[in-house]
Amino acid sequence: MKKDRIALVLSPGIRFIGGMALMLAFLFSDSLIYRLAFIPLLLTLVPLGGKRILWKNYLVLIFFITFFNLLNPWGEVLLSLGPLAITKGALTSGLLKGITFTGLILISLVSISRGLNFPGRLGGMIGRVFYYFERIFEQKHRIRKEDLIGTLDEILMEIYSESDPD
Amino acid sequence: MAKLTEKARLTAFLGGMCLFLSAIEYLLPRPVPFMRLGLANLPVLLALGLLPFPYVMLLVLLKILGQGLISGTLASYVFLFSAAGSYTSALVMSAFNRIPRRYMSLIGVSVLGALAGNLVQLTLSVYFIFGPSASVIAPVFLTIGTVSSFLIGLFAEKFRDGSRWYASLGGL
Repeated sequence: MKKDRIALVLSPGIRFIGGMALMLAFLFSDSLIYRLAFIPLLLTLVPLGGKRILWKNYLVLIFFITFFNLLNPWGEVLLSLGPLAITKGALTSGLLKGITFTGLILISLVSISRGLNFPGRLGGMIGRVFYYFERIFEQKHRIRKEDLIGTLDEILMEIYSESDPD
Repeated sequence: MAKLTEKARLTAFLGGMCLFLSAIEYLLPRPVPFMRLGLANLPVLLALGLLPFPYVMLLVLLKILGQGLISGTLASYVFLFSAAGSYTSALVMSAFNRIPRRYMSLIGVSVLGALAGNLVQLTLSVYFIFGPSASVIAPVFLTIGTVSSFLIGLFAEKFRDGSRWYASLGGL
């Protein structure tokens, strides 16, 4: 796992608020160039935050969004590839949606970090969810393919019968 | 941590299971990025027979928050898609789960819930992302959703019938 360098200078709460501000700035204009300009910054921040950039996934995502938008042509025809006409309007719209979609995922990766506590009763419950998640995760090596139900049942029985964490 | 009621504690426990299964699913390779197996629906299916309706809805909220945190999509459209699909699916599953077991198995409940959730997600993708051409992916999307929900329903059915843990919660 990569080292989270942002955590050295920002608390999880401030980081989350900063991420939300970055999201508002990202969505401020509908211009493709404007949103594209944020991408290098986000691609720098994500690894600094200790997260991995799934290049292939994001590129495939942008490709698919753009491709499906191209199937609905509008505006000036830039190129014709057999039955498919690549139009300026559809291409710009598809790329804008793809970049926006990817940008928001990157912002989410930058904003969320370990130790982020949500306030209130729901926040307390989320804390408990993470506790149980970690307890189940610790026991995952005991899960056997040949007796999936039996081993999983044993783990759940064991963890659930433990006293409620304080 | 503050003490929770038994129902709230079980909801958090099932939420932890959702998070665990989301993490497992995140690690599995996907042929197309927006397609999910829906492993995290398993605890929701189990919850239908254990928790009252409002707690099931709370569990769905915990599930989508957990999925958003793990996959890094909490601040994105994906989160809204996931929320719309999960809530629709949970509402449909809750309704069909009221039908006696001899007429409707958990497999049926799971498949109907997934179909409803996937249809809502497809509709949203037509309006907000892909445009009318999203209908091109509809057959593949719905087929994968139906097959995976059938398998998850089958597992839930077998788990419910064979689990000592599940049986021990019957009197909740």
